[in-house]
Amino acid sequence: MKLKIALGAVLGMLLAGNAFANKHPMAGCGLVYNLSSDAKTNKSKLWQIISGAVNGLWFNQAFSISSGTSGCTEEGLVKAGREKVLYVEANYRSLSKELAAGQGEFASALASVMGCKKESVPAFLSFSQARYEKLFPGADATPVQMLETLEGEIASDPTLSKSCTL
Amino acid sequence: MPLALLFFFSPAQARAQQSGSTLSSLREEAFGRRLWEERSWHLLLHYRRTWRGGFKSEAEGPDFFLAEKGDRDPQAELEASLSAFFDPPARDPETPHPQCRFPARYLWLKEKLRFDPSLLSEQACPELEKWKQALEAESASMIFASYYLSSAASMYGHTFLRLDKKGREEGERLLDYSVNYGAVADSKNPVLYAVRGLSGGFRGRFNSTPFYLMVQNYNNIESRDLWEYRLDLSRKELDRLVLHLWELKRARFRYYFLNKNCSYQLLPLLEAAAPRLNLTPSRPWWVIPADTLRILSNPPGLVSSVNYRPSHMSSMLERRGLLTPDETKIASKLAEGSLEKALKELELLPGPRQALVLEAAEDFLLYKVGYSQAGAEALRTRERRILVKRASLDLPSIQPERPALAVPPEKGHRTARIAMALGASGKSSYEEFSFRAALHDLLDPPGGYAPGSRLEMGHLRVRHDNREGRTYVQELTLIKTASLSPLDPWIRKPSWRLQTGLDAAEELGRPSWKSLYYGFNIGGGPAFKTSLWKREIYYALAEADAGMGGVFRENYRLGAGVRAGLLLELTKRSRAQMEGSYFGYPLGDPRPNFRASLGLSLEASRDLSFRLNLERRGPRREASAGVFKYF
Repeated sequence: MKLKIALGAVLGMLLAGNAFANKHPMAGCGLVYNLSSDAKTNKSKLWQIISGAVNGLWFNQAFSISSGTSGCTEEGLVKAGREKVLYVEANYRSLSKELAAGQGEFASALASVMGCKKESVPAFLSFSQARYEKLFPGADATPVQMLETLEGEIASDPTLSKSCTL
Repeated sequence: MPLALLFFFSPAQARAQQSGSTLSSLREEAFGRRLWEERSWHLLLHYRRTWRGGFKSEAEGPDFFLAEKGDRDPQAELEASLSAFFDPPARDPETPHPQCRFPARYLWLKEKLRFDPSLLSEQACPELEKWKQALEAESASMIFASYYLSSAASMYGHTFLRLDKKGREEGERLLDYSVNYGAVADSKNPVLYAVRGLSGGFRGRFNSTPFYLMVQNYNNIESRDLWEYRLDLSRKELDRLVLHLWELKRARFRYYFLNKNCSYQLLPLLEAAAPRLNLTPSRPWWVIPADTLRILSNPPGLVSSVNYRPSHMSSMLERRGLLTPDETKIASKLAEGSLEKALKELELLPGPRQALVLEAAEDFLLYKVGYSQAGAEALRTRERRILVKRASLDLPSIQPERPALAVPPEKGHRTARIAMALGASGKSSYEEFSFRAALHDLLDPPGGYAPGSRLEMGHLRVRHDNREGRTYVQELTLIKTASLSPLDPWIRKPSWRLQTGLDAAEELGRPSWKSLYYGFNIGGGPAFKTSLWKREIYYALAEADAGMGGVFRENYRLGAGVRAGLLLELTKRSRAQMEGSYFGYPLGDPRPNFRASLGLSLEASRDLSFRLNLERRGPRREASAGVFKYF
């Protein structure tokens, strides 16, 4: 059941992402959260124990991203121009939590990803907190939507548009 | 006529001619100095000495070697590399030049032989430059993800490297790149998976990813602690590390879960970058991540600082610890109770407390639902309302004070253990010798290990009975693992237990040496905790039990039963465990199996303990006292 929801959500993400193809063509990194490492699945403990037999296995972890497969990485580096999308997709829950609080490591790193200068990070954080409902408009909001809204808001702000090179 | 032709040599050809003569003189020098015998060369090519005294590289793959037998012949590989560096650029711009494929080797040879750049055309390596710029490493850290018993692969923890980018401070590390060595396991069959993982059937390789992905995966999704060990490497050593990583992209290694695993391979990598370090164990039987951390602690000053990143669960509990009981109730209600009621109750609190309660509720919700984006719509709506409310409060968060840090993993007792014990049973006495390859049981000193966890592999107990004069195997456990998670209003994980191996069914009344059987046992149930004295954990598990052996009528038994116990901390250095179990067997030998034990352990030092043990199996009772040494 959970797997179906997960796949549905990913599909939804990809489809929703496509709707905003103008700004971020091939939107989304197709980051697939592999729920098999989630201890709350219905898979028995025994299966989890046995099937996880090889450590350090990237594919066994929750993110099935490795060079090339996600479309956002290449030769072990994040592709130029895909850093923002990959960052918000990968850290979406942490960002929704920290941007609401107006502080946090992930939120500060978002400022960096958006090209904001170090001195303007506090301004970025209160700016985002004040516009939280806009950035996260509903329970179905997607990471790419959030990113594009944020970019739009920064671009139209006189101070931040200067300190953040989008 | 022939003289005129001489003037028509192209500059490239003239260069090539000059190169040619330069190459041969360099070759001569390399020969004379026997450069292929140098430690740096062996490290860069990952050569290890074989039993017969020759060399074999741990790396595989045609792309890593330039000579045909390069994996066994350091001299041939050096000559081939040297020649290749003088190759003209490939016609196809997509094919990288050997100088660009093996920049660490190139740099080393260049320094050793003092290449003259005017005589050798240095190639431009745009891809390599892009790599170097993206990393711009100014230091490296070894990162340890803590023990995770839910997955066989992660039972011993995991290590990977992080390359800390220049110009960033602590707290800005998320965007750095981390380097991970792991196996490419292309098998979904769990048995094949285990067999191939143990026997080198998988190939491992290095890959790099942004550190934030690792934090999300380990800290959040798997809720594991991360320990960061910053390494003190020189500028030159870091450069070499980055270049060597580039070389390793095409290399493949045989992956062995027990010894040549994720953590082991990071040691030769660091040594190749910094040959002054002696890190790689020469013939390891097994190496676990905590062992590699201990190895790194050996060279003085190599680890310059340690940073702890608590798991999501740890930070959730830290934050909850700041709430009053009433506030905790509101937070629980926000996350899973009546949201409207909770929001009303929240309004009665002062602003900063509201923020704290909302954050705690969000932590709890994230813990319950998990960090993956899938979640029922009702939950996502609830979460959004909590976060929108938090965003409306323009107040800073109340930060939990960093608690006295948990004991870091390398400070825990060492991995293997031997013990000598003296015991008595009925009219006879015995001596027992035990050896355990890894790792930890509930009476071992708990510091540095996951609380309430047990992981034992390769545990052999041999006894000598004085009355009968017999020496026999009492136990040979392949694996015994257990996880006790006391129930908590916010953490409702079941406790579980799994074991398989040889054991003695003394409850059947026969002498121990006639009672050996092969058993398998698995079970689960709840655990609870109290703090009546210091820390007590109670557990009750329902288990299935199977055994095969000549000691049983019909040679087997299959049944189920219960196991209950109490684990308590007496003082900081001593603990006790009481346990009883009862099994009935509808299939095979029906005789019931009743066992009870009381164990007491006393920590003399980190790697030395004493134990007292009283045990009963059916009619047989025994008492023993022993010394336990970890190494």
